[in-house]
Amino acid sequence: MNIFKFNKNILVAAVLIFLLGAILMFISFSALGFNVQNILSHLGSWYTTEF
Amino acid sequence: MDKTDFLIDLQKKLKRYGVKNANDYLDYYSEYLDDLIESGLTDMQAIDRVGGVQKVLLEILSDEDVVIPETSKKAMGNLFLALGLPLWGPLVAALYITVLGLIFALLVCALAFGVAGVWVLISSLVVVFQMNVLYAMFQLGVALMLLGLGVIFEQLFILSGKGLFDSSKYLFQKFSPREAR
Repeated sequence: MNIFKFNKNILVAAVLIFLLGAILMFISFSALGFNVQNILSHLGSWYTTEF
Repeated sequence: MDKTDFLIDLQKKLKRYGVKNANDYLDYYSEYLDDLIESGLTDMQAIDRVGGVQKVLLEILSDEDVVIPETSKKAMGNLFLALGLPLWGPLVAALYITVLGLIFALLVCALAFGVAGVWVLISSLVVVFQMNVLYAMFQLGVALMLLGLGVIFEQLFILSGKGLFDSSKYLFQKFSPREAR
């Protein structure tokens, strides 16, 4: 399977990897319980401040 | 130039312009010249009277009964196409460059997502030891999403690049003068 040639199977595998990553991200994200409102109100500087 | 030379010259020129009913015109001018010669003119005087080969040729080509085959009309079409090049050329070039730009954008996306995916994947290993598994899982999820997007864009780049290459090759072969001969 050459990744530098177009292959439908590679494309399907990539979509599956993307979906797997998305599921993993959302599960762990909800488990981590981030305060999204707080993150947004600090405009990305949340990681430098304690809240 | 006598009458025969005149008619041979006219025949050659009519053939070059692809006039299908050339014999009708040759017969007509042959009779016309005969009449003039019978009325007392010499061959040269008779030819001068009808206007010479070039003038007769122009008269024939502008005649409404002249039959010029389709290929000559096609050649005229090609001529207009070539003359219109300054008009449609930039439009086609702009379209081609736009498509090239879009394909290049796919390549850039593939590289960006791919590099970011690998970087986040490596850093997720650091996160396992520095923080905890839950954070590492979150980062791994993001890494897989980025890598997936990278491969999707890479495959789309290859597909569209091959499509453009094949269509350019087809058009080049179709309009290449070497192929047309």
